[in-house]
Amino acid sequence: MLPGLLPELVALLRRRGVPLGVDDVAALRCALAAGFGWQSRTALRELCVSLWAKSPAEAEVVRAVFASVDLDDWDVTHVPSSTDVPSDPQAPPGSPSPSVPSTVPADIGAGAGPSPTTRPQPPPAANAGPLPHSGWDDPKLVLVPQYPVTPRAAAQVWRRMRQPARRGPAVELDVEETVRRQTRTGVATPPVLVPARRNLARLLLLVDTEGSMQPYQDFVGQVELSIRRAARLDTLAVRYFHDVPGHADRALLANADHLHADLDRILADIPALTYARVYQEPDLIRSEGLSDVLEAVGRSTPVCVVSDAGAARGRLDTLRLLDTVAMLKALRGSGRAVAWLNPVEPGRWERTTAELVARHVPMHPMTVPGMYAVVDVLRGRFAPVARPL
Amino acid sequence: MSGNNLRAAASGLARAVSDLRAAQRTLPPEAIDLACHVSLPVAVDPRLLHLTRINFLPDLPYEMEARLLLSPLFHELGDGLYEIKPELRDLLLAALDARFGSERLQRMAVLLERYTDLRSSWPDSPELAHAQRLTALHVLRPDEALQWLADNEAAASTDTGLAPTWFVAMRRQINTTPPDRALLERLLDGAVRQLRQPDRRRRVADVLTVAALLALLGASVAYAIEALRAAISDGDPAVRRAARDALPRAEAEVRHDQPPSDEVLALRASPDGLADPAESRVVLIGGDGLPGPYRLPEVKAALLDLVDVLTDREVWGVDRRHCQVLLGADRSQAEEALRRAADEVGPDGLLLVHFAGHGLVDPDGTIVFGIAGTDPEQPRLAGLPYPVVEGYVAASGAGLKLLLFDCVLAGSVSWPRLSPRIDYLLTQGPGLPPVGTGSPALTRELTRLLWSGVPGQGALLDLRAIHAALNPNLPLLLQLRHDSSTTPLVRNRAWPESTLVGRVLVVAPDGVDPDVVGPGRSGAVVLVLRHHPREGTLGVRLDDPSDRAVDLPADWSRLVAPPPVEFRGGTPATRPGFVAVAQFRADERPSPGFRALRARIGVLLRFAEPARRPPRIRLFRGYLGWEPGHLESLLAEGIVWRADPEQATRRLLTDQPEKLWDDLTRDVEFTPQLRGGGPSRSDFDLLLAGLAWRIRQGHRLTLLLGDGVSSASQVRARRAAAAEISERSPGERSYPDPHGDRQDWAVGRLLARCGAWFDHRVFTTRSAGALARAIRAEGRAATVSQVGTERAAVGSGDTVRVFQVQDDAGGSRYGSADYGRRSGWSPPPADRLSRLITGDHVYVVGHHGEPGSVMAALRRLQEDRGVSVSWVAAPAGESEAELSIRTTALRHLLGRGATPYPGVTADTFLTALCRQFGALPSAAPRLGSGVRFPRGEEEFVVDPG
Repeated sequence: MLPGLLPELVALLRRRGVPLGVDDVAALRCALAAGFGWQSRTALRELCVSLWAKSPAEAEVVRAVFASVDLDDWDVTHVPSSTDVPSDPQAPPGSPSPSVPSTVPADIGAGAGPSPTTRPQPPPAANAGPLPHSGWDDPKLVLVPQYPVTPRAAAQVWRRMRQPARRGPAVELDVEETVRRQTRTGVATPPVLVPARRNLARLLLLVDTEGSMQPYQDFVGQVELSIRRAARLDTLAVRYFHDVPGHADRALLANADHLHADLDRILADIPALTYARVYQEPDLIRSEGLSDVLEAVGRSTPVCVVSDAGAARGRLDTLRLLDTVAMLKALRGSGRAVAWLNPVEPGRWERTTAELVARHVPMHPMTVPGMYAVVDVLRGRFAPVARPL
Repeated sequence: MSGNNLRAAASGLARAVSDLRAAQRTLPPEAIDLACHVSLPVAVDPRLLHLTRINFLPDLPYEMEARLLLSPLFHELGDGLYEIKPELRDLLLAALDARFGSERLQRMAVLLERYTDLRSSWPDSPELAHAQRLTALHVLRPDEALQWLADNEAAASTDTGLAPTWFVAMRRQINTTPPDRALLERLLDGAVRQLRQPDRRRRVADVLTVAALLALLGASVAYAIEALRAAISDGDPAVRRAARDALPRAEAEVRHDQPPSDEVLALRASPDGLADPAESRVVLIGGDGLPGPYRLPEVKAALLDLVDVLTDREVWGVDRRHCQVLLGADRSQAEEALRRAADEVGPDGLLLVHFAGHGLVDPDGTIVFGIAGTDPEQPRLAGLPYPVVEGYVAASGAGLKLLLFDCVLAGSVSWPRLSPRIDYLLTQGPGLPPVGTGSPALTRELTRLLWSGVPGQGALLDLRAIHAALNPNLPLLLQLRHDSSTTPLVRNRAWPESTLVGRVLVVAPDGVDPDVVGPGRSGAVVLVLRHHPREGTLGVRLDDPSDRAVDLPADWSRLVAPPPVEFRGGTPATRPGFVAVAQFRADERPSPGFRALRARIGVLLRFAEPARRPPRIRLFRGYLGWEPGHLESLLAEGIVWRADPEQATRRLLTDQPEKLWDDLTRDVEFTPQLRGGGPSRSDFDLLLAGLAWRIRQGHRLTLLLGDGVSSASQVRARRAAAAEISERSPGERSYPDPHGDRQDWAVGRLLARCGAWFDHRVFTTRSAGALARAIRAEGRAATVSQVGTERAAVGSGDTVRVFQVQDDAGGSRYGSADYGRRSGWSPPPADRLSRLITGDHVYVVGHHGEPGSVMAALRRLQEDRGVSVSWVAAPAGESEAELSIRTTALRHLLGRGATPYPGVTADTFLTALCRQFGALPSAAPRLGSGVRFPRGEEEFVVDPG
């Protein structure tokens, strides 16, 4: 019989983005049956952390959620024993419990809110000097970001950017070829070596930053970090820009259809952006020409643009659309794959520049399914759009 | 405080309230709650806002963080920092105290302190870091904070490296206690007092201030609401309008600590995406006042019919008071009506101006609508010019602006281009009969279409869909702004869920409350009288006769269909009387007081003089009610399904009502006979009902699922396979269905409901599109990939990726398809497939006849990459590969290290697992469990006495 708190704990953790499944619950059940986790609430909490958390961040989430579950109906630690030591009412709720089962769960009372005694009390404030700590703590607080896409999920998605090939020095033994050669010749031949497999996939990431993208910067940064760490690409170049990397000739708009915000009438006349600058850091300090970057990464390297395309502020800006179309034409160049990740939810693209940009380039939201779709496009999958460039 | 300071404070407060109102208009209340939390820090960065949300308001969507930071509440400081203006900050902090109590403020302070410590959050700005820490300390230990400030300021400490101006600023900030609820109440009190001042503009501002403060306070304050009610009768229209807008929100302001769900948020934002009927205005102008040959006598009836359909709650539901029909009106009356409508329409409303009559052309080319007093020779003098109408509409504050002109223009003059400030213009084009012979054809056609709906479209109709469905013989011109092309206008009465009115529903036995039905009875049969997505559903039971004889006047009692007894329609009504269901023969005309529900089925709303050829009637005492969405969920779960319409109509007033349920379900046995040309809706429902039923009952079940569109030979092959399986495994049933898509939908929803593990990827041999849509409809996330033996119809959607394998004489070939297009066929499939499938788990909804290449791919996934492959609802396999995969799948599903139960089938396991998670809707509220329909009883219950 599982403790009554388990369903609540699992539900809370799933709500916090810890992907628990049947196996995890079964694992806890097995561990409990084997006698682990019964000593104290802390022991049970650490058992859950050991079984369920796959990273320090998840461990913190598990601990925080554990602190917030109601343990009133959990009576496992209530084992009468002659060695019972009454718990010290002044003991900090977060401190490790003694190994002897206590008659009162150690953390009871912690659920009521922040406590002034749970963190080491700092030395008394001097008359002058550094600002003292309050000494308050709240074990229920989580200080790990929980963005819509976890680093683990992002890594899984971007690992699909693969183009494996054998390149480089021959260092791996080709068993089959070695055996075949020996059996054919009948004499001992030297082992056949082949180059190791490498991922040759490359990617240029163009990230819109500052302004309306500022609220999304952490989230985008986390995804970018996941790509850097986990995608194991042959080449990953990340450049930054603000809104658009350059401006197209405004005179083109003279022939546009003034009754409609789109540029369908002059779409063919918009030339590729020739003068555009992108930056090496999110702070937009050191710039370089977009054409130089494109040349450096190679003609076939796919490009992923990360930008809200005006959706965050709900604006429909024909000038921005013009510049964006010119940029997309420059990016596409000689048939390079281009996809767009938009951190704003699709429902808010309506009546904004983003909706019109999405008619020209595959644009997907920054969710797991959206990133799967973008990776597909970057791998060369044909993705129809309303008005291709 | 000096006069200047007082004025500055008042001005600051006014700006704060103005910003607050702007934010309240665009953000849900829970986002304002989040703003209240982050009003404590001196400045906020996106990560601190994010941590605040996930700790205190975790149900608020992530998207709301960006919307909040970009709202008028925040001011961008640069370097990723945002600030709330001091006056507004005080209001929000007071609201935090009022709604969440002082403990929440303390927790927020702890979060702020830990955040400042943990992350070296502001390494380049020690002033900011110290300010944040000191703010938190001031909340948690105010004495220490003040002491530290005093000590360090006096010593002009060099340890901290803080400038003297910093100390001055911080002292000003923390020298007072944090604002609390009393501040809001004081401000509210002041604003209420100001409502009586003579300045009109100030009164409007004060009404808005009262509303904003009430919303912020999060409680219903009686005297403030009374003041708003009093303002509704103010002499100034602007004050009246402001009070009218503010009052419902203030009255409904019942706040809970627990934030509402996403669904509730979505419902608050826009119940179904239509323009808000309460904020909308409709002006219908009839051009019936023209002389001689220009007179159009049919206009009046056509416009009144249009009002009927627009006010119907199943179509749109605009209030009749907001529909102005101008018949015989002159120009000044028409302009007055237009001006009033443009003035009253709200930002969430639709302004619709419709003209039916003759369009005349002035000598200078201006289009003029012919209304009363118009001289056809000189229309400009008394007619209503098009630019005037356009001007009123364009200048209004409506969220959606629509012009409909049912008139033909004389000569070759064409309609002008649509103004960019108007969303739609639908007019008659050239080619209609000339003056004197026309009729309001567009009005008639539009009315007919709105009543009938557009089959094949979704739940809502936009003007593009309406235009496409209008009579093709009508030469119509549609102009629309690009970005408004898909804005829905009305509900689609032909959409399946919205046409339950008049439908007969069959309820499974376990969906009926035994208190209502009585023990030992089978299911129930119900006729739906009213169905509204936001108000609920009302119906009567058709199969539950009482032993009480009907007591009616002789004229009517002879019309009662046998048996001549009262029927128990459901829970007794609150007013005396019956629901009188009536049915006509095909060649009869309805009698007076008859309200049609569907075809020849309806209700009698009054017992007037019986018609010459009267209907057959049956009297029901009481009725059943479902809350909004309840019946739809029962339908989706398979507890309730639609009876075959023809059969139901034939047996509606059967003389053997006890057998009605059996009659309507005789052919069911959950093995529906599928007719040629595709399964009907009822077949689909029956199938879903069967699956859900049997899984709940724990039956052994084999799902033999189709591969999308099938040829006749494939259907035969599947039936043969089904028969073979039944023969081989007695007791198991199989359900061949040649029509995969609908079945996929059913299965997808079922699996999504059952599977807590379904937030993963689904790998299916079936129609991926339907399955993915169904899973998404249940709020689950899944990426569905398809491996099929045929080219299949492909659904769209972001998460749908389709891979196809075709086995033919030439060998296995692999390809991919998207949005119905096919490209890039190339061999070989197995290794490519195994590369394409990523993730840790693959669930296969599969059956018979997967190509060998698919099996090889799955095996490779298992062996090479350790991917677990789970097989759901598979029949006994023949090959070693199938056996291996299924065994592994079961082991995986049952948990590592657990012993597989001998003889367990996938679906039994599924059921057990669902029970463990409580995912099956076994606790769903049952039919007739006392739910009352909130409105509408008075429409149906009549008292013949």
